[in-house]
Amino acid sequence: MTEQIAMKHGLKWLFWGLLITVIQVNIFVLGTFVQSLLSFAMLYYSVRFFKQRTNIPFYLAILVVLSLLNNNLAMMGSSSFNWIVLLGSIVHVLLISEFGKILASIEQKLSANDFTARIISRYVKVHLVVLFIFTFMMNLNSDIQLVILTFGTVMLVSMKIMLIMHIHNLRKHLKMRMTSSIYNKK
Amino acid sequence: MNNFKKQLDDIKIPETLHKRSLTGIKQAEKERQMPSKWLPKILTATVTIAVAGFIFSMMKSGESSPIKQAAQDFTAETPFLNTTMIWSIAVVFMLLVVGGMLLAIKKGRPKKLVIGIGAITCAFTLNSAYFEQHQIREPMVLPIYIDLNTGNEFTIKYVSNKDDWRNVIALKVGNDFIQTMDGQTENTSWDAIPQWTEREYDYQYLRNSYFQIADEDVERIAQAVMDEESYLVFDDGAQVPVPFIHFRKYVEEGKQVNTKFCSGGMDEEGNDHISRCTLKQTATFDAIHIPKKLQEIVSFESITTKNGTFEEKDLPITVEEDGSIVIAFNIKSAIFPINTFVGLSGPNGNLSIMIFDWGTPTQDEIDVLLENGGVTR
Repeated sequence: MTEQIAMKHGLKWLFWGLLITVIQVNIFVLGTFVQSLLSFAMLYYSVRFFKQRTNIPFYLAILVVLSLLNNNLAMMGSSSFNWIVLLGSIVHVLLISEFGKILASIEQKLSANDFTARIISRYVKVHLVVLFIFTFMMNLNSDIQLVILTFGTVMLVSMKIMLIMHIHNLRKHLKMRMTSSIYNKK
Repeated sequence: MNNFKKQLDDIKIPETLHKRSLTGIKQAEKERQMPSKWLPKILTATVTIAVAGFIFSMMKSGESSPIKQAAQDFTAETPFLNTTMIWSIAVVFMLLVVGGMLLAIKKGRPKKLVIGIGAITCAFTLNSAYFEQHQIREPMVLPIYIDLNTGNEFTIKYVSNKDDWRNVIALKVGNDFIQTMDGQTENTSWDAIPQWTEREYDYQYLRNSYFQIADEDVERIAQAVMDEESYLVFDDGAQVPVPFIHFRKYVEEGKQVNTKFCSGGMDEEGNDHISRCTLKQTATFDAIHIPKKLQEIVSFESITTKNGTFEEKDLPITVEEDGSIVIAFNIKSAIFPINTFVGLSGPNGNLSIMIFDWGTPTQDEIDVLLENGGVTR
């Protein structure tokens, strides 16, 4: 498998792995749990196509354990549940910043516009700010909680969509490069 | 090519450029030393915030108020988790987090990311400590003052943490178990409120559980309630003591004045309990009857007949046959449910009036009650 084909597959699985988390499946029993596991599997599969050594498998393993705990502890009391959600979110930010490194190197290889650094930095900043505000939720009344939750969720989802769109553009760019290189060979 | 090189060499380098480069080098050296300078700042800020939180919580518990005084009359051991322990754990944990941050930066992790994550963890720790400080170890049952009427129904109110999803299944009195009347269902969506929640406080809910006793068991259970300890039994088997102040089947004492009808309820402002009665006979009233334990909470306001409005000092008064009488009693904000009989008495007999108060404490009242360890019999 050439490097470009490996990149193509890697980006495809990364794209689907992130896209699947945007869909809301809370209405089904164990919906979120199955969704997270599927997403982690796709992300892990995508990492295998990139040759770089990263901490991603380690972070994914932590996320799997946390989502297992999350699923079992959700009704055990808010404190332990909150801690697991917070840890999960922090590991998620670390995971995305690791993927950012991979995307940046792909961009370099393709000589594409280097948007990745800016997008990942914005993604991480927004996530950290929203998480910081979320930490105050447990001590606020339910009306303010709802406002913060809505605002935060909109911000997080919009950032995720921005990242997904960026990966999609990168895929398109890679496809174009591959087509043109085949054409040049002929 | 040589011309080009010559031209390049001829370009004069401004002297300020050298100075600027020197300033740049100094700046870089300064930034390299940064970690050691912000370490004390972060440590100081962390410890200051934690200590401030601790002192604030201590000061808050030191304030006094009339309700607090009232609550102290019923003091039991504090129902809160140990505040000192919670804040000590928080401080130690935050110091560990700061240590972890320094280690991560030393290992070459991105500084901004590490500081961001550290700040979130510290904020979360502080918030968790403040949250845990307001959690109660076990549900607190409000006292209850009740004269059982027709139907023998009564409600027991208790305060429990918002994440306490346990439901009450029975009331244990001595060896008797009285099942709750309600079939409680499970609802676990993120914004759901537990069944039979009457009021939401900052960190707790006020919840109700409903009971009914069969006619043949009333006397036996009423006696057992006053003689033995009673407990609310939760679906996980936990038992919480119920502070009954008064619990018995209402029995009319002495001769009663004959009435055509009597109806009662709260006035429009919700302050006074108003009863309107029409008498079948002429009656004279010379005394007011209010149960001893309620004399600080319930007070007599006025009697209105066709001859005018009278206060306690105007007694005795006489009401003629077929005459209507309006009696007003005031119930000061009760912090527990009351359902009992007060009335007027005289040589012709007693006129009993049922009064009730839902006894829903306000946020301030519940804060004081919780700080003082709840209410026991």
